[in-house]
Amino acid sequence: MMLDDAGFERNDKITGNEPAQRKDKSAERLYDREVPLNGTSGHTLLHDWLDGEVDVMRASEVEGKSKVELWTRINAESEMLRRRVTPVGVQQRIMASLPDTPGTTTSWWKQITPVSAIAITVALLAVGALIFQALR
Amino acid sequence: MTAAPLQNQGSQTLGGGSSTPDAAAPGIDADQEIIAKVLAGHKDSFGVLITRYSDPLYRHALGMTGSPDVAEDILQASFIKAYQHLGEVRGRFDAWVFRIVANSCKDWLKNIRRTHVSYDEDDQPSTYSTPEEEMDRNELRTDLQFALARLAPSLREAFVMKHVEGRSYEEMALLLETTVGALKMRVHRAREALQQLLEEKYA
Repeated sequence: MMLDDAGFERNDKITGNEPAQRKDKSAERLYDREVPLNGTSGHTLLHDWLDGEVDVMRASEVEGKSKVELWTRINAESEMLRRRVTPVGVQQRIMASLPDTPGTTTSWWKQITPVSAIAITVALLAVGALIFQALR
Repeated sequence: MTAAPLQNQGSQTLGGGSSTPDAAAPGIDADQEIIAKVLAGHKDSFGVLITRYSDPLYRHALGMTGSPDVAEDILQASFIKAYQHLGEVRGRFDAWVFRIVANSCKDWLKNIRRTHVSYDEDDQPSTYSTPEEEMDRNELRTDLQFALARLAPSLREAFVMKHVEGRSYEEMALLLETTVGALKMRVHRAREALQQLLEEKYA
């Protein structure tokens, strides 16, 4: 069962039931919610620095050297991931697996023309009339 | 250390792009021309779109799933789906195909909330000078992935888009069809969660 960001089962929004139990209470309860919790998601200089709005010296002075060093390492790792490219051969594999013709429309209701809509309506009315006659 | 460690790169929305959502993005008209060609029967033209967008889409899938194999599969399935529904594209192809990939990643995470992740097929050249630095890097990489796996998909998505893909909040808002404020909140929460999980060992 999937929980949404507010920690409710999807059906609870409709039924108004109490929120369901979280899957992983210790980890997810704190991190899944959009609204700020006490002591978290406050606007800090660390976020400003990570968003490129203040320099590292200022962030280090206020937030502490250890936090800045941790995020420097995380950023270095992120930079490595940013250089990843699609492995060789994947693009060719995708091209080879494409069907012969692209889809133009897929939804059945998009394919109904006015003429076919009228024909379907007439047919349904005829069937309804026949049923009505049979039941009389 | 630079003052702005997360500056964007590239010039297009999917390439890690422009700083404003309404900025004229080069390639959009070209995308529409290519789509028209493909729909007219030139199947090979779809390869241009794959070449143009596969790298940022692959990085997103890799960041979200942590698995190169899964990322490849999601990329392939997403492009096939895009091809099958190409006639339904309204607006920007890059944003449309991004949402296909992003939804596939979140569906995968919903179905497999796994904690084991690795970039074991990392073929990137090392920038670390000593074996000790390389070991430290691998350890942090593993721990970071474990920590990311504990985040809710929406927080992980926001973190990956901001930190790994280097996107601006405006770009993210455009691609995810939400507000800059909501995304800032998600990124901040993801950072705080990761910091809480990692700082005991590293800070």
